[in-house]
Amino acid sequence: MTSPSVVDPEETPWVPTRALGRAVLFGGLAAFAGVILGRVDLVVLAAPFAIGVAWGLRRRPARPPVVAVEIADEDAAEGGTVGVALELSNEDRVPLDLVVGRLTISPWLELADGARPYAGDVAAAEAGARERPSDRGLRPAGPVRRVDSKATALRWGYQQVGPAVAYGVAADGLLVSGTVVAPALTLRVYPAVPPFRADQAMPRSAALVGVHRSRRPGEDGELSGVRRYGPGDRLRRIDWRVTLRTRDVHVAASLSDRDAEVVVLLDVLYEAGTSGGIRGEASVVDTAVRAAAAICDHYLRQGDRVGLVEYSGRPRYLRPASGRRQLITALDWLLDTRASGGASPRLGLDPSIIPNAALVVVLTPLLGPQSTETIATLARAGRSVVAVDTLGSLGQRRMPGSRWNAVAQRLWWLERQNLIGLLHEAGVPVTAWIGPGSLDQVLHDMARMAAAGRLGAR
Amino acid sequence: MSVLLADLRYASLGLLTRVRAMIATLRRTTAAVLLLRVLVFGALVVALLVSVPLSVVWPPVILAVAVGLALPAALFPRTRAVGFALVTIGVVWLAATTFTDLDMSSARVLGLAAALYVAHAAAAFAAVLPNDTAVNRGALARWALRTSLVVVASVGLGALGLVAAAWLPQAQGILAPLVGSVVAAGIVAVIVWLARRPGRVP
Repeated sequence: MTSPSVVDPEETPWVPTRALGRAVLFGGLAAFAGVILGRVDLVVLAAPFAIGVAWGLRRRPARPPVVAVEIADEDAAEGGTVGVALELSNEDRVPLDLVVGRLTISPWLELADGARPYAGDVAAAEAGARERPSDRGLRPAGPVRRVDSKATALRWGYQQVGPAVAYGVAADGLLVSGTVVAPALTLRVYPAVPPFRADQAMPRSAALVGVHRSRRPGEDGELSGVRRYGPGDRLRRIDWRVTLRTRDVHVAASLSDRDAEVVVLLDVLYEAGTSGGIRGEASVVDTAVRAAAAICDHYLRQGDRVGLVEYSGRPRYLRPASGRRQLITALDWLLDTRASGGASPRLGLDPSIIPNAALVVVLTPLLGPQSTETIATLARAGRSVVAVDTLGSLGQRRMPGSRWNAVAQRLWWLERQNLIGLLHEAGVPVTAWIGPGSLDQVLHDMARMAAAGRLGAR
Repeated sequence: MSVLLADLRYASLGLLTRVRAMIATLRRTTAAVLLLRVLVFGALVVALLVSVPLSVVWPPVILAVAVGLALPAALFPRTRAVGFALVTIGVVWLAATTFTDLDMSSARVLGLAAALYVAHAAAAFAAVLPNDTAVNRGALARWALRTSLVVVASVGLGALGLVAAAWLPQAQGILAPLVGSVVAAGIVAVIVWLARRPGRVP
């Protein structure tokens, strides 16, 4: 993908530099003094300046240089590299002594050789190069000096490559062109998907397809026991060993396999910590986005349906769906995630947008009362809710300041632990995000609770 | 008192940040840019040393003045420091050759002319390059070639003029005004040409 500068030569004229004024001033003064005083040596001092100016200005360009930014791919993964090129070209019939170009790049993209300006000379364009139809607006028409580099994506999100600015230098630094600008290109950097597995059964499942062992009898492979033959049982399910031993016809009963619906709710009301990108510390939003990507990746690869909800000042919702397309859509959706600085949605979160049978995984730092209220509301509305604490070790970091800060921090921590306890009592397990197996223990507990509830009902 | 101390602490932190930023900028300076600036500095020091009679002025003073003129020009080639240094050296040369018995040999005049032009050309090139620019080696080599050609042509013409003036002492009174007028006319022509071209440089 390329983004060239489009400029009107009239708007970016070539202007004299201070060096031209200096050469004219010094040469003129020396020559004038030589004439007045009759001194050949002063005229000799003026000679190189006069010759230099005359030589430099014998051919003057009229068009500014063209600058273009190019990226090899439109998307990259966090920690991955992508080819970035800066193209400096000349559409004028006068060669340029220098074209100085600088590519501005997102701080979350690291160029292999550092983001520094580049200067190189560019030869003159051929006659009529500008008028070639295939070149118009897409590729530079004249000779090109291309600077290739590799950019490493340090953080997820939409990262800007560009704008690139350039100016030309002619007549040995006596003339300089106006600045031309190539607009920025956007690189989609998908979050790194940390290793994640959840081997436990889902507390609830939906349609009669999928990979999760449900608690309903069915025709799939998971054996649930042996029972007497009844009307409707298939002959191939007869367990002959038990039948011969008991003298009654018995069949092997199995459980059905079903898919599940997972809704990942990202609580990004508050940001905490400072993002250090892929190589540094993760902020709360970083952890939430990467965890959401990992959960989406895991469940969508299993064939489940996954939806996303952003709980912030500008709430967003991605309908649950399954398949690879949904994974790409979900990753794209995650790139827009921003912390809203404490501004909660005006109308709160409507639990009815979340399907009844869905497992709701709330990625939350539990930093504000709004988050806790939302989680409790979802639990009261009968949804299976798991809260994943995204604050991590940030909450235990010592705050600099007076000794009272430590006391205040301790009080805050106790209050938070109390809040987590209250959520537990409301039936919402809270677990820390630790990557693989983060959800296993809580899913196991929830499945057991769901089974216990059904047994109690009988 | 504590408020004053806090203010001082914040001020020192700000200063420290600026110093660190300056050091970071200097550390990013590339070899090509550094070379050009060293060339500006060296050429101006040489020019001043050539234009001053060492027998009259104490050498450390000349060196201090040379560094005082050349260092700002090398550090800030986009400013008027370069022009000031050139004009100052020209005035020093004029004064030294008028009021002292400075040896006005051809080599000295031509050396001074070459040094002044090299300083000017290097400053002109350095002025358009940000500190941390990666400069294409070919571009730098071609600039050096063009500058050398101008210097060689000027030194050649200057040497011819000086030789002519030495051989024909009676013509010296005519030669300088004649050649000087040609140079001055050329410069005026350049200025007029610059000013009159429509839609171009004003």
